[in-house]
Amino acid sequence: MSLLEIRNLHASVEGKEILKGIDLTVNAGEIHAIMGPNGSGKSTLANVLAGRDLYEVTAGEVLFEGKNLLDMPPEERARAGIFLAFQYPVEIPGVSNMYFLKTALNEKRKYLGLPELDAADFLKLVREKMKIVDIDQSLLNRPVNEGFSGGEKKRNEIFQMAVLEPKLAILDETDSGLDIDALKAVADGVNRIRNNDNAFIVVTHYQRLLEYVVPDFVHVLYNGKIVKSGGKELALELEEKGYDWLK
Amino acid sequence: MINKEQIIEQFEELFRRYEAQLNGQKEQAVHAVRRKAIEALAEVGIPTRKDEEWRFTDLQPLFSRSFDLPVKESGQAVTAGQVQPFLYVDFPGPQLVFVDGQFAPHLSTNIKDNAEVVIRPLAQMLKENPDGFDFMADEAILKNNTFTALNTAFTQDGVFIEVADRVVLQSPINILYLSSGKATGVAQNVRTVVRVGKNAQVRVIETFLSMEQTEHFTNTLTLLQLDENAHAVHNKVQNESQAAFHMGNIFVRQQANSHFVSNNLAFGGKLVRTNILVTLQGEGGEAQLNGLYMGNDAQHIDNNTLIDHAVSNCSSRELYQGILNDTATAVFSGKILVRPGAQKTDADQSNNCLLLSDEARIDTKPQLEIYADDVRCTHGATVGQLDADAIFYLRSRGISEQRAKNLLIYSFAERIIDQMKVESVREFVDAIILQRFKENMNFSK
Repeated sequence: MSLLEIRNLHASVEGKEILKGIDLTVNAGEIHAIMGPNGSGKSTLANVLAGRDLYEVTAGEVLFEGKNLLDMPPEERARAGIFLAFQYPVEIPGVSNMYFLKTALNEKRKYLGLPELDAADFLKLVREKMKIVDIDQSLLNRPVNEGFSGGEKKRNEIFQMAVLEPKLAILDETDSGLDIDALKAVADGVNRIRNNDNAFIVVTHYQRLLEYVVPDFVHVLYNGKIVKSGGKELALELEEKGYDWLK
Repeated sequence: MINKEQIIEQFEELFRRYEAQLNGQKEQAVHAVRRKAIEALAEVGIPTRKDEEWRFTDLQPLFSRSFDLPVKESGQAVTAGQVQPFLYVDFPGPQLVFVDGQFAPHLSTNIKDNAEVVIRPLAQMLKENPDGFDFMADEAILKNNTFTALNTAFTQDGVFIEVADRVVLQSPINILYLSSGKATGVAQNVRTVVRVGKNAQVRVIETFLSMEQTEHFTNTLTLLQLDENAHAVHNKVQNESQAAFHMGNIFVRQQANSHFVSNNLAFGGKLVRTNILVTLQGEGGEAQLNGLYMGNDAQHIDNNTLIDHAVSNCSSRELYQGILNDTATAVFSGKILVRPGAQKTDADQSNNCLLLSDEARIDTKPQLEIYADDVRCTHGATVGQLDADAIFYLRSRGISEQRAKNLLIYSFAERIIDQMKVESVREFVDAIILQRFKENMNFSK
């Protein structure tokens, strides 16, 4: 059974159709890159999968481990193992990073029938995970993303991913606005997290990240549809020829 | 329709009844002040919505009721066990308990009364020193508004606190004004007086709670005087019955280089108004006013502040946050007055309100009245709903929608609660807030 199966997905925002029939299959252990010019629907796809209600699904279906994903509210999708690393992570003053993550992890554990972690055990877990993602300890006690630089916010997304251990992680233009060091740190994190049981959808405009997070499949999204699919070489070809080549 | 003559008549009648049961106290010198106050009522008047200061608050529900005097010594029957849930757990200082506006010594603990700090119930003070009632006699305060006049006329008891020069009190002081609710429609008038000497420090909490969810009227007046270099923190925690009327007046006078913090928390009451007037009379004075108000159902909470920069080089910071749900309404009226010559004034004011329902409403009236030209004054108000992006972010991590909203609401309130430094008070306030949410949030920082 595939991890994610998208069939003929159509989605609109404010009445305007953005996704015009997406078909995609993702299996465990795979990394799929989705590239495309601005306005092609990349972020829409990521947000529809995560369950953002700004977008209306007008046709098609999405199965996650054989279950109807579109019927599940965002929190259930997260607990079932979907994680969206946001392009613009929101700041949440007054809610500490630690408290937020512990709550999120325990919601997932409850859903899976596992006992909740107390503060001490959670701290132990956090220390382990900090070895995976290069994140400053001080950021953990601060309110979520408050005053974080762009790079710190993206690292925080990957750190959350490390703690929550999703089955399917969607990176929505995680590389945008990052300098090369931050990019490498994010890529290192992803590479340490990936294994044969999970999968990644990396949504990106540029090929740069894909040198570090090497995809198994590259799909090109253009005007709401996947117009071309291939291996990692496709990314390089796009880089050379530009998006106009697809028209 | 408010019939002013009729209302004044009603209060005068109540005063006559009050006098009748005063016995010996009628002969006290202070009684002349009480009489003066009730007589001044006609001059001070009864406010209506046509009065600017009461434009958004309808007092008709309050004035259309007639109230009774508190039952004498109603606190006698209340046991320590019954009062327990209304006190702060492991509170590290004196706790004075009043029931229906009357001091209950058997319910109070830890009271100190020595050369360093005087903590004395007002009725006791007036008995021991019949001529020492200057804290009742200030004419400007008496005539400030209807409720200060009524408070002066009807107050029998309260607390007098005086901290001697250079005394830094480590333990906070809690004054619990508890309504017993044994009889409905009771009006309690209480007064708290705090005098802080030069270089002295004190932290006072005034807590207003009700034992029953019955109708009653609390009319409170607090006078705080800070000498040079004094530090005082005044916390007001009000969570009275949802059928209660609550009128509060807090007057603060600050001398040079003194530092004052006010934390004004309003959770209970059907119709609530707190006026805070801070006068910065000496250079280098600093005032910080924080407020949190939470309204549910049909509550109406009105906060009216005036910070008077009477001299130069003083600073003031004001932050009020409100959370309104259902059909609750609130008012925030914050005035900053900078008098002529009050140069290098530095004043900030912010009022932020979360509206969680379509019918909730906040009327906000920031006012800057500036007569000096070398000052820095800013003010801002935001009114809005919970951030949808923040809610989604939390949900995308597996946190349910209701819990995500509760978290965000709580963190909004936290900004003010964080200002309270006494842990047992913070926990008590946290519990009040958590009770308001439909789901158990189980926060641990």
